[in-house]
Amino acid sequence: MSRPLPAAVAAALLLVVGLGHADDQLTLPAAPLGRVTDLAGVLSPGERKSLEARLRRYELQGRAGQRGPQIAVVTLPTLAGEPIEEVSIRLAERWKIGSRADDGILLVVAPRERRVRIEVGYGLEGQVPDAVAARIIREIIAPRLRVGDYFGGLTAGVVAVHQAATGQPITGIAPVERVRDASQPQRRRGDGGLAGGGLLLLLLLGLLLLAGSGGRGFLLGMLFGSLLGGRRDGNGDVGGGSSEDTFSGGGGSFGGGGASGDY
Amino acid sequence: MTTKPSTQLRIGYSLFVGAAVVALFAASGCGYNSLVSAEEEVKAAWGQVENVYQRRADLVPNLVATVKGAAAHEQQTLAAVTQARAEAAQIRITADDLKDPAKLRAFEEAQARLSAGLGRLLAVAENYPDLKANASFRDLQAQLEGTENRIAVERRRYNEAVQRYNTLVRSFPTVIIARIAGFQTREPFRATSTGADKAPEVRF
Repeated sequence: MSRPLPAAVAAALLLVVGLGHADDQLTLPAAPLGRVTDLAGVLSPGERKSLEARLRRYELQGRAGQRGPQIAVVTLPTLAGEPIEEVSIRLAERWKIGSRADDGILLVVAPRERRVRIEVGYGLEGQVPDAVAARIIREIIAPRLRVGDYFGGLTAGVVAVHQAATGQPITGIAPVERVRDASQPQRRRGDGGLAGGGLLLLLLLGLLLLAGSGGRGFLLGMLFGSLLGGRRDGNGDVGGGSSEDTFSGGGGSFGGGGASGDY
Repeated sequence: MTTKPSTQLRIGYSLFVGAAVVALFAASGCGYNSLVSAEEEVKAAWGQVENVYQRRADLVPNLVATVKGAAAHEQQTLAAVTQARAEAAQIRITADDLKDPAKLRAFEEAQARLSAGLGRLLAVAENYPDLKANASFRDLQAQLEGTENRIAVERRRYNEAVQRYNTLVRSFPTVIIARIAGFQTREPFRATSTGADKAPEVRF
């Protein structure tokens, strides 16, 4: 009962602080406020709920009992003079939209600057190549935003992005030959593991210590400490942890894929 | 018997020195591991940088062919891009070459020439309405923009990895083991656009 309240208060405070500044600064919440984070206030509460329900359905009811891609929408009151790409990648990195399969997509709209961006997680760069993201912006989202129809533009955009991400034909854009993107960069997750040399050195030092002082506890401590340290990555957060009515990013990583556009 | 106290003193002294050395190594043994993993992070980040630059190089032939179809008399611009790509492709840097700042500079300059060439090519394309309306040109343009953005992202991540590594190499106590084991600081990428190094206005 008491748990959600401080979070809500903190979020509200952040918002107040963030929007309190003029256009030269933008303070973003450390975590998304929901699947739709409407900081610019372009949606009515009902519209926001409708969009959130759609995004929840997409994520929780994927194909063949699997989870679908995690899509989040954010609108920003200002870009504080920065390119939308910068703000978008930082949001994506911070919020970690998507599961550990890197299947997150962030749709960012900045009404003041009239800029849109679709930020595509590593795992979906094949299904949603830059050219497809650009077409979705140009042909589906931008025309609607241009006439002030934010709810229509965001909904249609989210539908199209979801279709692309799940390999369905995209309704609403000219049927094109499947755009082949250039070589997909393979994300190598650094395992930060122990190099053999380091382990050897530790062992030697441990033995030295053991011989020197009989400090068995210390030796064991060091060995286990180093082993645990080396495995840090293995049992990290298992991410994508949203259930029926909570939402959180969890593990998705991004590499700057996607597209941006004006409207 | 007069030597006894001094012998005891000497034994005590060497024990103390030995203990100090052992303690130092114990403290920096973990430091060695963090140095190794920080260096691995730099190498992994470099792998990503190379990937995205390669991705851009892969796009160039398609782009050149598409522009040539609509704007055949821009031979000079087209040839310049093709040549810049070939030159950039010749500079390959392995993870070990990163120790040499001159090689990184050469890589950077070659890639910057390709960036400039591509910039001119896209500017030229603005003069050809047919080209601007051409669907495959627009797709290529989107791919190129996306790739330039990936390059910016991976360069930043590389610089962040280098910064973490350099901090370890320079700060106590890891500096001791870094000196002994020969870990040297790495050169980051220089900022490409003006103001790229200023503090961001967007905060969390």
